[in-house]
This record gives sequence, structure tokens and C-alpha cells, in this order.
Amino acid sequence: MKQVELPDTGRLITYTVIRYPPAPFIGEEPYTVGVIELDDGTRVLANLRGTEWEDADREQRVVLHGNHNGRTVFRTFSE
Amino acid sequence: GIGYTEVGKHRDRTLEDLFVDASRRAIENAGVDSLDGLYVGNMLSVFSGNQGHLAPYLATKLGFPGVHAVSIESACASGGVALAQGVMAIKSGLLDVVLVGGVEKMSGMKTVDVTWGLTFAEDLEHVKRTGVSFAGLNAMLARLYMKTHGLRHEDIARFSVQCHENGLTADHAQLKKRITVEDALSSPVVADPLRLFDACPMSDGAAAVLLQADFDGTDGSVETVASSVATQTMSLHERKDMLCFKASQRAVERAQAQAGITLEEIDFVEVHDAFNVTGLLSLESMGFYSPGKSTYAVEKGETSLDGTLPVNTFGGLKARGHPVGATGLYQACEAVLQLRGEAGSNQIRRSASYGMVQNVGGVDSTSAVHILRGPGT
Repeated sequence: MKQVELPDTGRLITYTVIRYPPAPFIGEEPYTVGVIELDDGTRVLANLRGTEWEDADREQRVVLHGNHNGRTVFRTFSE
Repeated sequence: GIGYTEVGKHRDRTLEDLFVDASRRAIENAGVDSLDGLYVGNMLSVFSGNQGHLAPYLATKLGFPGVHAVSIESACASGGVALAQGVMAIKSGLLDVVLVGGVEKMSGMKTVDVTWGLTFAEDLEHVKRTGVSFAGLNAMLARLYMKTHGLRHEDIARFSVQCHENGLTADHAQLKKRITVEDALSSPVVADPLRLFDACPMSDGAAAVLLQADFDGTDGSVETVASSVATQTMSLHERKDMLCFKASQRAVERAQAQAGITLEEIDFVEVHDAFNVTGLLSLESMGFYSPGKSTYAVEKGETSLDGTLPVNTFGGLKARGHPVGATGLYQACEAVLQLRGEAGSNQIRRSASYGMVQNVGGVDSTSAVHILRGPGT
């Protein structure tokens, strides 16, 4: 196995807001989870910043916001 | 033989109670007095009741403590996969009289524990990193499905409405009340965009079938002509085409090859609608409808009891209920009722020669598909 560096930008494929969390996350709801396709084609399941995400007809670009407590969080990337 | 309990919240009954009840009915229905094999499907008994090792436990409770007995866990496909194991034992000549039963008791669990327990169907690494829930995964799937095909929530909600219509007259169904699209759209949000009425209820129940090797063909027996268990990439986000239920697609292809029949010859199908969207995606991935088109078929009435392809004839997971490990066996029992002409008010209007049942684990990580053939076909 070798390590590769992933791009920190991509497009948001789908998301949801979790209101009924699995046990380790109780107390943190609501929070957002999404599937992101990074610009090199890699797919990741990660958290999204905030819970105000909406459906859009156009492609939604996202960028890595940070890694907090082992959670990878993306935010909207407004160009 | 077939046997099953009513699906519902059996707070005063134990898991073994439910299992023995369904099993005894199946044994009596088949008219046998002994078994040489037992296969048990269940997902959460270790977690919910601290009870593992169900095979000898239930064999003992049932009164057959010496038989070849095996427990199967494949998340929500536990029942269908158990059925496949039973069929394999018969077809291979290993065993002659096999009881396959599925059972789940969820009513003793708190909702938070059910939510946590259901995530065990997924790769826990991703659950721990993001806090995604099982409903959350299905919600992301629903959002993508609707966006990809330009569908509105009403379009998928119609599937839930139809399931409830069939549940109205199904004696063993958990939910026997009519709902409207408006009811569905205004029910509480579970994980956006999925709402309560897009999802199946939490259920207790047990269902069993009695399989025998000496198939006569003239005694009114239903025969299993295909049995296939397939899998696909475990995690939804890692799949090339997230909207393809590839495990179900593979299982159906293999089942068709085994039975030597085409999809057109299938007279009705029981699909895995843990959420309405999974029922719809199942119909499409299995090949009954093109991507995005199953909702139109539901709207036009093609999938109702008097339609060209009746779906979930006793209400499916949504209305009949979903006692997780038992569902695959409820589907099988319901298919047998149809093929024997014993479905009462739920009998499909066209003649039933071949039925297909599809039981899924996780978000189509496992798919167990069986084709059953009616007597005299």
C-alpha cells in the first residue's frame, strides 16, 4: 500500500441531515453527512458544515473545511 | 408447509415464543412429524436480548434438539439467506425435511438502540467517522434517485400508499390502515428527505417454511426453482453507480438462469421496501422497469393486485412489517399463499404460476432472490 494525497475539492453528489444518530453520536444531532466525489474521482463519505444544505440544479462544489476529532468536514466552495 | 405469526409489537411474547409458534404452524401445514434440519435467520438477538447461538437454542425449544441446525445473520437479508441455505441442503441431497425460520423481536428495544443496531449492517468505520445512520444512507440514496430522474417526493410516496392498500386486507399485516400521499408528505422527517411514511415500521414476528426433498408435483406443493444470494460493494459511496442495486441485479440474473425462465414469466414479486425508494430501486435494478420508470408503473396501477406485475401483495415491508430477520420468510410464505390460490382478498387477479421474492441486507450489500413455482405449472 502507498499513501496518496487527495485533492481537497470536489462535487457534492448527495447528502442528508441526521436527526436520529447512532449511539456514539447521540447529542451531536442534527448534523450533515454527504457523499463527495473529489476532483481525482475518489469518493468519500464525510460530514458537511452546517445543516442548511439545499437541493440545487447546478453542480454543488465543496472544499475541505478541516479535520476535527477524526471527522472530515467539507463546506461550500463558492467560486 | 408455511407458518407465521401476525407482525406487530408483541411486547408480551419472547423471541422463542414467536419462533416456535410460526414453526409449529409450518410443520402442521406440511403434515410432517419430524425434521432433520433447521436454519434460523435473525439479525439482532445478540444485541437486543443477549441471546446468541440460536440454532441449538431454538431447535431445543421446538422439540428437535438433535438436528442439523445453523443460524444465519446477513442483516435484513438473514431470512432470505437462511432460506437459500435450506434449499441448498435439500437440493444437494444432504437433508430431506428442513425447517427454515426467521424471527426478530424489536419491541423491547429503545429507538436509539434500534438505530444503532441497524448500522451494524454497514461498514462501521464509516459510521464511526461520520455518524451516518442506516436511514441516513437510504435518505442520501432517495435524494440522488429523485434528482437524477426529476422525480418529486409524491412519486416515491405512492409506493408506500399502494403497500398500505394491500395491507388493509392482509390478516397478518402490522399496519392495516389506508394512507394518502398527503399523509406521507406531512409525516415527520426521519432523515431528510425521507419521512416516517417512507420507511417501514419496527416490528416483531416470526415466519417459517417447511421444505421437503420428495417433491411430487401432484400434491399441490410449491417448488423452489431458483435460489441465489449475491453481494456487492459494501459501502454505498464506493459504488460506481450508487443507484444500481447490483447485488439484486446479479441475484436475479443467476436465478433466471437456474429456473430457465424470463422476467416476463414472473407473475408477481415481493421486493424489499425497507424504504419506498429501495422497493422502487429494486424493481429497476432487477430488470422489471428501466431506471427512473418504476414510479410511473406504480402511478398507472401496474403494480397493484389487478395490475400486470403485482408488487408486495400483502403490503410489503411497509405495511405487513419488517421483523428484520424474519422478513425473507414472510415474503416466501406470502408467495406460497399466492401460488396455492390461498391469498384471499389479496389474491392477484392474474393466474399465479411463478413468483419472485427479493430480500436485501444493508443497502443491497446482500440480496437473496428466490423463484417459486406453483403446483401444476
